[in-house]
Amino acid sequence: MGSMDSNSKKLYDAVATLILNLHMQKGDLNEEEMYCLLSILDLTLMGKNDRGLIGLLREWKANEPNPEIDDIIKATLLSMDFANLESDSQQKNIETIHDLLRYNKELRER
Amino acid sequence: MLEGMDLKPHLIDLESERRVLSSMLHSEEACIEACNVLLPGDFYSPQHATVFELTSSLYEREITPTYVELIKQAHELGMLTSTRDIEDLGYIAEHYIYDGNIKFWIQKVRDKSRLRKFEYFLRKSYQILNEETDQDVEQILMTAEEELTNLTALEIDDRVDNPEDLAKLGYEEVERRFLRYKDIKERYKGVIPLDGLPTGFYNLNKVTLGYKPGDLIILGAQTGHGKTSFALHTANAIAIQNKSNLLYLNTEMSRPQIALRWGSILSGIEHERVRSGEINESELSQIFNGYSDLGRSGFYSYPCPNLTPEKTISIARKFKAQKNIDMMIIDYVGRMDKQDPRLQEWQVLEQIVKTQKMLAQNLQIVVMCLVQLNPDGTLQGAKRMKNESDLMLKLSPISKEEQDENEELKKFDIMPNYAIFIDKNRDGQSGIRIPIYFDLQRQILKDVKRVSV
Repeated sequence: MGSMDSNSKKLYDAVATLILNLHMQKGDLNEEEMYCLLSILDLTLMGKNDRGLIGLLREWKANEPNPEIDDIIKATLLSMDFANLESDSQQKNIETIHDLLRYNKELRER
Repeated sequence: MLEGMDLKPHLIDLESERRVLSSMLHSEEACIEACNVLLPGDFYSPQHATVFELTSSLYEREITPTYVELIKQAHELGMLTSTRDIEDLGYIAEHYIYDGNIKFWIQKVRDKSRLRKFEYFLRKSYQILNEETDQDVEQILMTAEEELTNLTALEIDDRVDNPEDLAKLGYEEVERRFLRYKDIKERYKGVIPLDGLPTGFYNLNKVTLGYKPGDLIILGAQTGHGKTSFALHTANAIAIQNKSNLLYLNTEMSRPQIALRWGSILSGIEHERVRSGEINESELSQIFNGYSDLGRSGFYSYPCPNLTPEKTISIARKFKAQKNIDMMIIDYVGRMDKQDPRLQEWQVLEQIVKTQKMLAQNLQIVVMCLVQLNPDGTLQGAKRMKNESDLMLKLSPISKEEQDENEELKKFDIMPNYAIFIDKNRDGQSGIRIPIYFDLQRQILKDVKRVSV
């Protein structure tokens, strides 16, 4: 609450509406995907403590796609409880994503 | 109530409703203010009423009501599901306003709501006039007058008690007291149970029957004569022993200072030794147990060096909504920032005390204000403060001479060195002096027991 500048706020509102519409009007996202993306949006722009998750997601998107690993990361993200990122189980999920990205990097470098 | 009515456009202000909701999504202050003043029924648009209810409920559950949280909450509950609803919600979220304007927009929403109620009242009265042929004129006019009077009352809590209401209330009060008296005689064998929160002192409990919701309590003491110790003793009795929720506002001490104080209070080890760390391992474990009790208690601390009366209102409302506090202690009012530098000290104190009394009544909590006594034991603006308070207490040391000469003081198990003087007690006896023992080294206040007649 509070400290967003007006550009960030416009972006936040527009992206939230877009995600909502992609689920409700177009049906491109299922409910789980919508909740997951909304939570990531809140983490990114509301200044919440993301426990390094957003950095990992940036790294993921910057990498070359690997369908198999991407599917596992997506499944991990969908199963995450974003309201309790500090809990042990969620911390394990973040570590899993971290390990997967490292593995993907190793595969590319081979 | 107003559904299906063809309302005039000037009785509806959707823009103000959106602005209130939008600011609630962006500012905690706005949430506190709106939750306190408005009800869902104050919004004309049913969608707006729903958004208000959802936002308030998120806030009360301590979830920051962002746009995203609101969407999630609404979706989970199967609300706001149509395209129109989503468009409306997006429009609301985009109308960011500066916090400082929130009161203005809330007032506009509330004014329109009251006008609509007035319009409804006129329609209903007109309908009664047209439909009922055999009319009891007195009854019609009296009912109308009562409804109108309730409409003109400014606060949500305001209402006019008609004679039946008052008579019913009076009888219920007497009946409750009668049953309690019977209960005391049969079950408690003459020991009167408390009506409110425990004071932490046996004799003060007996005289006051506890601190009651809506009460303003003023505790005066000279500098260095136990104001904070009294406050923390009260907090101990209420939040730790009684497990009620209490908010403690301190204008002087830092977080570590307050936390350290509890160390000696809860372990019974001298404060100086706790502060310097000069303790052994068994004492450390004693202190650990004390802090475990604190951790499970209802004690909420808010150190705030630049406290103003306005700030106390918003903090108290926030904690009432989120933690359901039963009591707030302000330690102490003399350190509060002046809003208007032209005002005299006593005028500022009077303003503060009035605000706190209103706050206690509106939120139905106990508010205790700590004030500083002059070196001669008097209080600046004392008469006005006394008028506003329900209970006025003064804490002062008993002099060495009195300890030596007063035979009464020698009849206690421990020689009392302090006394609580009940200067005013709206619900009972006043002018009573209660001797206590103040253990300065442990910063603990204790009851003293009479051992001989």
